[in-house]
Amino acid sequence: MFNNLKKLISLVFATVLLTSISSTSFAIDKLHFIIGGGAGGGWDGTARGTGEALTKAGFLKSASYENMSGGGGGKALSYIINTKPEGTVLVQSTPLVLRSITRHKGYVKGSGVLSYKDVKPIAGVIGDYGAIAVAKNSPYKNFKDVVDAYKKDPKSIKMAGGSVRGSMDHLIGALAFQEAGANPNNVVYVPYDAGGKALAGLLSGETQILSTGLGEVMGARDQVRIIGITAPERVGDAPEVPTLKEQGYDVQFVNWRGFFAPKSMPSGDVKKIAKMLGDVQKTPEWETVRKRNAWVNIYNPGSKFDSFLKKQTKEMTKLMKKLGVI
Amino acid sequence: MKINSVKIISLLFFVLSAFYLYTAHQIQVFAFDEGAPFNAKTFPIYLGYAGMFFSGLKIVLPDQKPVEVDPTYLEFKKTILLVLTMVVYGATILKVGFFLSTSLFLVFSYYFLGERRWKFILIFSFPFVAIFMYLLHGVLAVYLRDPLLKYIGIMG
Amino acid sequence: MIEGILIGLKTALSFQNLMMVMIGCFAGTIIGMLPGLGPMTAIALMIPITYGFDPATGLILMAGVYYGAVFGGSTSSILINAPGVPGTVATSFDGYPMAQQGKAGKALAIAAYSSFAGGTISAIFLLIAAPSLSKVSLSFRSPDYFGLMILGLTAVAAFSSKGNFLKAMMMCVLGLMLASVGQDTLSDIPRFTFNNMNLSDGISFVLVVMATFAMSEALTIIIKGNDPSKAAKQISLTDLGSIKVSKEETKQMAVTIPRSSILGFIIGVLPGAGATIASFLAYGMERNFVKSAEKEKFGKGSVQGLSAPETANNAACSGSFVPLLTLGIPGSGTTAVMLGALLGFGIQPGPRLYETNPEIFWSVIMSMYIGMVVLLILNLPLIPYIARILAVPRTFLIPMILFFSVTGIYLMSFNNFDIFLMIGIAVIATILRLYDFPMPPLILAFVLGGLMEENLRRSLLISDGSWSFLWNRPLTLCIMITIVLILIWQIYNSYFKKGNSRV
Repeated sequence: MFNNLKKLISLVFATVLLTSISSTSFAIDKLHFIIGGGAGGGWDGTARGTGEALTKAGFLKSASYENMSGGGGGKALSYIINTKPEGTVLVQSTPLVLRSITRHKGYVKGSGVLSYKDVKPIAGVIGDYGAIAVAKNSPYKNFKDVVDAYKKDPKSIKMAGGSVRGSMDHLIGALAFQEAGANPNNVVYVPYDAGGKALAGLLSGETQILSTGLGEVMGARDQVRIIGITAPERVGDAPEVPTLKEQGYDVQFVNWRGFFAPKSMPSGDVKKIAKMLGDVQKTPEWETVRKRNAWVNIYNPGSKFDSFLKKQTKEMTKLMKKLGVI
Repeated sequence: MKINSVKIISLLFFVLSAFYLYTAHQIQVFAFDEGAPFNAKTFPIYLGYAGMFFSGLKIVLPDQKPVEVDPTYLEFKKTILLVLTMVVYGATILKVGFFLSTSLFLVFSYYFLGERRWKFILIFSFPFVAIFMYLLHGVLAVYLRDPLLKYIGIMG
Repeated sequence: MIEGILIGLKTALSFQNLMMVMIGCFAGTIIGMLPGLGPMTAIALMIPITYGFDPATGLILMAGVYYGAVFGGSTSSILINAPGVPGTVATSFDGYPMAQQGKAGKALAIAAYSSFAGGTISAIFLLIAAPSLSKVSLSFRSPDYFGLMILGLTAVAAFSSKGNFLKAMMMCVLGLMLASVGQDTLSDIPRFTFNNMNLSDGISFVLVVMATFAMSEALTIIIKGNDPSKAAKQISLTDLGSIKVSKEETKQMAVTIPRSSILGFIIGVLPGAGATIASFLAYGMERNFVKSAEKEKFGKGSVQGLSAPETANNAACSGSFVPLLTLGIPGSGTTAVMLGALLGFGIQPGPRLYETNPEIFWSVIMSMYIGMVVLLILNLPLIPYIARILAVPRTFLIPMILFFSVTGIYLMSFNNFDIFLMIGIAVIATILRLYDFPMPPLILAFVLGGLMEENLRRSLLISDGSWSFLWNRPLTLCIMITIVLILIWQIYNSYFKKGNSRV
């Protein structure tokens, strides 16, 4: 009886739902992506774009995506840590490191919970450099002009950013000012709730500089002058933009986006997925997706990724302590 | 002062505002923000006072147009049953899966509201949800968690 | 410019692009009707489909989806008090009472005409003034946004008639309290989260709307099931009335639509506002403009109260293309997704878009007109059928409303905590509604309150803690004076003109 019912339900559904392979094989041919935010966001685009390139280039037979928002990505992270689902990876980015530092202000009990140390880093795949921008008609031509003006009158420089105090946007600008010998805590940071709104604030003249990701200002290059990016060298998509390093401020920061696995995933599988993510970056299918999203490839797998995360944690902890946000 | 339901609600609101005000004072602001003229606490604190002010006035001042609801007209049993069905729905949607929990939610709520045509109930539950799922999951690629269908082997 | 329009027309009128407008409008309407799936999700879901297209076609499809979604949202607002899209919440303030009075067909028609007119008029503004309008979008600073939000809050007065002033104010405070839950948007401090991670992102707008409107409406109908006066009312619902709009109503709309279009368009142009705020502001402003007889009808099925927000939200959608196309600034989540798509196509927005890709600039604008026409043609003949939703038995309609509310929230966050929270708020809202506490002030305050606080704090940050920003710039000063005038006028009206007390 039960078997018949099962068959019947299966039959009804097989016709209407997309079917996929039910049995697990040894090779990884399907992946489930957990996305800690809603459709249309940065994590969503990264997971869906990567999945699309992986399937189109033939590395995977199928990929599925599950949005799970809440707690600024914490909900999805705790799902990966606690439930340890099979064949599943989590997309994350620099805020994971920041979250590990702040322990998300009391949401977490015990030690080591909701940190990147509780998941297995697979690989960093793409990145976005930080950028400092001014309006086109601004008197500041380069970062030195800004620093000089700041040193003359610290109140004359208001720095806009697309997120809260202590966020990545804030840290990018703070890093640059710190490198220039200023106390980053004295730079007035004006937070907006989206990159676009911070950009509008800059252009309306209520702030003098904007500190955010390069991707956020790529669309407005006609309105703003990018006076420095946190890349080691100039980037191909915007060759006219100078780095902070070449101006004598050795600031390097990359907002990476990458994938993580639950602790329960066998190391062999983690390595396979990491290799797949590296190989796919050489395919034309990836190039299409990359170009569409103006991503920068920063393939950074396995233990290299792990030590990068450790280094970033150290740097950011120091800076955030200085800024008084932890 | 005559005591009526609106006054009781206002009193509850007064208590809520007081609790809100207390919680607002507990908000931990960053050290650098403490001296600021307007920090994360400021607005909630004023809001707490405003809530106490308005609800306090409502309690003290006489009612111009009292609203009275005759409880004999109210269908408490049906409403509570339906709210409970929703709670069960919310509790099972992730664990059992979208398909079964949604379908059963519809079946029970039709039944509780007095629907007895079984054909109608069955058509607008299981097949309806299947089509809805197909549109979302299959066509729009919105992932719907469903451990049950996964167990049967229909969904990846 | 004429040349540009011709290029645009030629591109937009090609068979393929016409098809795209139609598909986009249709898909958008359906998605917009489902609560929880707004224009942003609709467009995000369309992006993979547009990969293979040329940029103009892809953008035309997305613009169609955008309009369709806003349009579809108003249908569920009017019929079942379940706004599918935040921008159509204000539509339900008068649209739903109208439908309850057995004029569902007429309400849908008025919404359709208003959307059409609002969208078309603002597309004309966009056509003739887009480049110069970009200056407008940059002239607004945080203090001005702060003023705008207060201006919007004065609309609370619309729900404070007949001795309900204190109740409206209490609901307003409750809305502000709900809005303050979550990580504070300026300093990332958790407020009222009680160490619960589910609350740290704040309570979503759609959740509050679905709980206080759709769900509590359904629960109210059930709990009042034995009420004889209500039962009598229910019968009239099977008669949906004609969709014909009378001459007098047309006259009313003729004054409402132009002013709401202008207001909606300007608010849409501002990157810090958007369709939702435009519709609330238009509703509040309209109430200040209309005759006192009509004013009494606001919130109870006023033609002008329905037409104003419906015009404004469509006008705002067109307006939001100004900062997007001419400055590369996305003013909302929806336009941010569209900006991503533009860049993906290799198009650099900015004043030079005119010169570098004239066919894109013009064909998007031309396709807006075509989209409006398509939406009108698509929807008018369908109204009588759509309105029949109200005629289905309550045993069917109510579970469906509850199902769409729960699923809508589930689809947004995939988190069942949100479902429980929504049920809780809905139960409280139902009790409050039984005792005549108005829900619109709660929603109004919920939307505007957070933005008001945020912009105030930002203004203070920029002016180094001084309150002089309130009068330092002419624009801010103008807005502040307007607010004071409106408040004085409202107090005068309520206390002196008719001599009745409002407490």
